[in-house]
Amino acid sequence: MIKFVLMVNRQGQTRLSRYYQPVELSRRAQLEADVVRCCLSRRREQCSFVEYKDFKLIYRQYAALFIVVAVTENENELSVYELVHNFVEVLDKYFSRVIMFNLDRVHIILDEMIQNGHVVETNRNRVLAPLSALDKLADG
Amino acid sequence: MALKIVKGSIDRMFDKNLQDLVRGIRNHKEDEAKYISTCIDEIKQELKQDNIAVKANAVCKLTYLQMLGYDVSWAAFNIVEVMSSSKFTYKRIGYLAASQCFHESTDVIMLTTNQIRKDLSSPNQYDTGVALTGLSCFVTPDLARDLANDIMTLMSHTKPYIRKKAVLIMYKVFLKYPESLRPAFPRLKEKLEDPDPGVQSAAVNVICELARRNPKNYLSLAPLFFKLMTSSTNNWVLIKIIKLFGALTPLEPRLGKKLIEPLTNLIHSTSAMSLLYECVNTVIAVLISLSSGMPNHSASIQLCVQKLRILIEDSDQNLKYLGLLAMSKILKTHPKSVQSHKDLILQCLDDKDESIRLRALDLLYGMVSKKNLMEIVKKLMLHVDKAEGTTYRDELLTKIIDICSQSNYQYITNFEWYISILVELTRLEGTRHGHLIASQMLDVAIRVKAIRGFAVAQMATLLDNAHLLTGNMQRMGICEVLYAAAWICGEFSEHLENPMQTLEAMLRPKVATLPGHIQAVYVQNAAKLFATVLKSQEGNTNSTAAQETSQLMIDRLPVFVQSANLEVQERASCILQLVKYIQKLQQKDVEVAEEVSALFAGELNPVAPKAQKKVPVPEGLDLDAWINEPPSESESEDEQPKAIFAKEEPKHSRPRHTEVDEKELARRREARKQEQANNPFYIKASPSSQKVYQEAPGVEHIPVVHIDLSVPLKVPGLPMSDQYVKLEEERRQKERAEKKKKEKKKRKEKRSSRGRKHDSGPESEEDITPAHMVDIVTEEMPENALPSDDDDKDPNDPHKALDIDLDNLMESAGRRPLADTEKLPVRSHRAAEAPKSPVEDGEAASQEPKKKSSKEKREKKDKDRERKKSKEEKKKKKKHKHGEKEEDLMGGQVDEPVGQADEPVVQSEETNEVAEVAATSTSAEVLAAAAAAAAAAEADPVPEAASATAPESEPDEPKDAEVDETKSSKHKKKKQKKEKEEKEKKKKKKHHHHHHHSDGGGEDSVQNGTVEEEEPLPPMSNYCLLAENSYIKMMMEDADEVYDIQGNLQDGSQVVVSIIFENKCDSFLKSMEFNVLDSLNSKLQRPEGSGPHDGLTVPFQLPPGVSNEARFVFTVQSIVMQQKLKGTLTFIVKNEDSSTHEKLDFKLHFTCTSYLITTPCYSDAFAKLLESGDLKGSSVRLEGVDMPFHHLLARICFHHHFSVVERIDSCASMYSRSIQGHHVCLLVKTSGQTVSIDAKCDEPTLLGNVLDEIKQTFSQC
Repeated sequence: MIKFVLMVNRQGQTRLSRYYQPVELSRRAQLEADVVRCCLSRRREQCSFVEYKDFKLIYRQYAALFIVVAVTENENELSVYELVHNFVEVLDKYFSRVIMFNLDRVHIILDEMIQNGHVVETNRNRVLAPLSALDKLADG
Repeated sequence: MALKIVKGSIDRMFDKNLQDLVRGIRNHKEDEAKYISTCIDEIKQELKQDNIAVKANAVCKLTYLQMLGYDVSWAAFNIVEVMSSSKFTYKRIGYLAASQCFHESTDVIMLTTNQIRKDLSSPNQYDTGVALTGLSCFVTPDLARDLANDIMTLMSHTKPYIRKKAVLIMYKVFLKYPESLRPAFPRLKEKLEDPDPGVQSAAVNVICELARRNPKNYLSLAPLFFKLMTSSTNNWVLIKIIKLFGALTPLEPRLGKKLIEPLTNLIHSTSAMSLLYECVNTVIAVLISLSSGMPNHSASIQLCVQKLRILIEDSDQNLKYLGLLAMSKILKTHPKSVQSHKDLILQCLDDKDESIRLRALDLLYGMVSKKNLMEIVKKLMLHVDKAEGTTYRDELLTKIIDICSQSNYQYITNFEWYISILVELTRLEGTRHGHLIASQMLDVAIRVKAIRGFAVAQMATLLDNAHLLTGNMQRMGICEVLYAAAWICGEFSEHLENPMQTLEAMLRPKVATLPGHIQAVYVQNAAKLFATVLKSQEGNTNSTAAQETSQLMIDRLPVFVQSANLEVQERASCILQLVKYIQKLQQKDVEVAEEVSALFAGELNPVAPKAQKKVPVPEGLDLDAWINEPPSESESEDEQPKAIFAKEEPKHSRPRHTEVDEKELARRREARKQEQANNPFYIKASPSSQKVYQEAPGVEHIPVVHIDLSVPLKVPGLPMSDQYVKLEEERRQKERAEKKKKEKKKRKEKRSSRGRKHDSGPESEEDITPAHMVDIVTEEMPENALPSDDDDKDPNDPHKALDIDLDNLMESAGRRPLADTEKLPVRSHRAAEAPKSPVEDGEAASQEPKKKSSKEKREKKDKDRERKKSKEEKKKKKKHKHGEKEEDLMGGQVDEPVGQADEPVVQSEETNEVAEVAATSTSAEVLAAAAAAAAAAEADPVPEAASATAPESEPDEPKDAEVDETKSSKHKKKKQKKEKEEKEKKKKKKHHHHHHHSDGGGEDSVQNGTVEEEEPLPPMSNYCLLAENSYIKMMMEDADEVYDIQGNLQDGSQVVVSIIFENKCDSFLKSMEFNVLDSLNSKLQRPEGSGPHDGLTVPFQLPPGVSNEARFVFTVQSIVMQQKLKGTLTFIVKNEDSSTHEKLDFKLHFTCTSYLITTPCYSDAFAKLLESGDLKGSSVRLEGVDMPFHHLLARICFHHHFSVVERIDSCASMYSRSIQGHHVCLLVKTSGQTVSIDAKCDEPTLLGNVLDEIKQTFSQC
């Protein structure tokens, strides 16, 4: 299962974090710093999977944005790797502008796709259904 | 003007949304902390507003700040407020904040239970969705217990969107509240075949996750999963299912054989790499679990290896990495298949990506054989030379050593070669692993006796060239090797060719620059060498040479005597004095060599690593006992850092400075902690993180002096390992040639006799004989070593609790069905849907026509009669069996109304029997009998009824409206009722083999004073019918141990009664109100603010045929007396066209027995209790009890909640405890048909009543 999802920029600042297993707030900063350092220090030609402590990190870079997913030992790396791309595609479809300012919506999308550390939905339209319902609500 | 400014700022304050906050933080890079603190102040202001929109906005911003690492737990209550907003726009903000900020210890979570329940049942699917998502993040054991039922209901929601979320969150619920697993499992299983692929996938996810930890409980699902696997086209689902099979096959090898084919098909057909990878992984796992030597599976392995090769050859680094990873799994069982791809793996050592190189190294570790070890190591040595960056080089070095030393040097055929490899490794620049090389040298030299001569020579050369090693500071790591070299030369000095030269090398002044522990070894071993040298020199009768040697020692040792290192100094001065004394003796021409070498005589043997552990603990030594007073608890106040995911070693706290006042120190520490906690950028130190940092590739940029190794640093006299490779090759060829010769000879011989059978195939492992006589000295173990203790599983693993047998749930016959105690509980007055067992389902489906309401009155009339009857009947019942068909026909219509009233008794009796058997006996045999009885009670009636009631039901029809009933239990009831009447009339006695323990089983229900007793639930149940009419049936569970365990023990005056309401008609039942007339002693707990006569609304409605459970809490002042409470249930029966008010009266009966909790008691504690003298005695005599003694005991245990303390022949002591902590002790004796019970209790009234109840129990049988 998925332990957490992080979105960080190239400077290593966390842009979004979602934990599926509780981690104390005080430990998060350290964990995130560690994890980000692990991933950012890797070169382009290196593979996207890193073994970190007792779990695995899977990361993908999109321009200045890194998406890091931590998964347990038994998770299929490639499927999570694809999931990240799927997630980014959904974000792409929904947001025309910078996503930074709409973090709550990013959260909604993420929650529609991953719940409880498991993939719930990968269909783009279905993922976005609650969001469009919400937008209609706001417009109306 | 001023007003305008104020107004403007207020506006701005309201306007600042998340976007502004993010922007603002970006624009205040220099004073971010200050900016954020003003923002937080603003947010605090906003939270004070009444406007929910403002609050939601504030909470939204807080969520962002929390993510940045600021503590926002102070706003928890505001988050709850926003969560409970009715507008979805705000609600989701609240839930998002909660899911980010709340955790198990957040106390406001308690407040959310009802809100979440409301949202879960909201008509808007997005409300439900957001609540489920949120819940998955912050569910606590309490929430899990309280909401398990609601979530379970949602698993069958009409919208797949809700279903899939509900299914997924059940996993979290199981983890937090393992008791929910069994009741929820049938429905979860059902979801595997949900029409919606999303729901299906969710169910697969949950079951896979559960099965991963406790696979054996899920084996029975294998056929279902197999079906899914062959039918599903969803790769996500397929991956999960295949993963699950990977976990199941080790337990069921037959499954593995079945899997191979579909998996290989998938491997051939799929284009999705992730699926391919998963299939390959599982095929490997399957083949591992299958017994080896299955010839037809080599094709599968070949296929996997081929596919993996394609992955490894791919330009995508990710695939390459995973290919290597999977390859290493194959390696474990099928090394030969992988070894043929050695070239490919060696190629990977040149990859740009370090993680790929490391994976390749891992693979190499497993690929070595006697045949290729030298070759592989040679390649690795080349890589060591080329490698950039110390991290990778060190990794290579450790791998080389690992590869060579694995399984006790299994693959090394030539230890000379290995020693020279080690010596070559000492030339590595700046490695940190000097100690590793050193320990290898020591290990080999000590354990391989044959190699000592060679090793000593090599070490002597090393010592001679020691200036190379200590040349600069960067080599400090490698100088550890000298430790080994000096010790080996000293210990095995008899092998030295030129001990004098080595002695001289060891006493060079430069040695003093080495680390202290190495110097100490130098000094000590110089002495050993000295002894050897003396011996050889004295033999030559050249006394001057010996004296010169002594002089050398005396000249050189003072440097060490002045050493700052204590050990060096001590050893040096001892040895110096010794040598001086020897010199004196030498001057007197005394022969000393023998005595000096006697100082160092004796051989050192290696000690096994586990030796210490295996030393048996001497008798009388308690290792757990404190030697000194244990330290006070306050010392552990330093918080131990909690592990993030894995356990970490706790950090050792520093010793305290006692000069500073304790309090002051604590205050300062507190302040510092506070400060650090509030500063998200303060990185808390932990040992592991530091290590990680050091090892991170980021340190690669540290400049490393690179030496051009094209001109290798060849030390004269040091061997090159390469030459051994050649030598070895030659040697092996020779051997082979010889062998062939021999074989040819043999073959010739054989051909003459048996013909050609043996073909000399390629050289096999066993053919290679080691170059040296390798006698690896085995490690020493202490005498009478203990057998090794295995490491246990982590007891804290939450999944341990989920190791629950689930198979039995589905099929009732012969297995353990859901017991009522396993129902998902509902706290106090809340509603819950009783999970249905298959039997119940059938029951719920039955409907009774409305016109049958007259039955109610009839029942009331019959009440008294019926009670008497039931007693009578019970007496007989014990020896009776279900009636036969013709009996039914005879008795069936004679006594219809009475029979109707009586029938349930029979059934409850039966189930009680079964329950009793199960409860009182631990033997598996009896349990099986109980299960069989259960099967008889629940399952048999179907076929029987089919034959028995078919002729009978037709005449019934006009008379009795119940004809519509199709459920089996009803048939059964009828049958039993008729049967019983039959018995009454005919007194026909037939023994039922299931029933021999069952004498007088139904008392409980009688004591409870119920109108009608019926037990339609599966056996082992404590439920009995409370009241029933044509609309509704109420079943009450005895207020007994189940609840007391659940926490009423602490709160000794509460009794929880759970009641199942079952809708028996085909109309909708709503607005149910439950009310009880309170007595002085017992009161129904009502919500605050309601009057003492107000009823409680039953928090659910009942559609036709549905049953649900609610719990009611009563406070009881005194428990020494029996209690009876009258109550009424009012409800509205809603039809399509009309709705009518109806009511149902009932009487709740709390016996004294029901206040007792079965509590085990040990005989010594029991004896003490009796001796204490606080207990008052009483006794009772039962006459004419005709049953075996153990049945009698079982009966007391079951009906009166006692436990047997001790039993000797026909005498037994028993114990129980009341919910208010009264002890009740019984001494039961039997002789013939007389049973005497002597009882003691600290509350005489209670005891009297309990004894009365016991008496009543037996008077009925």
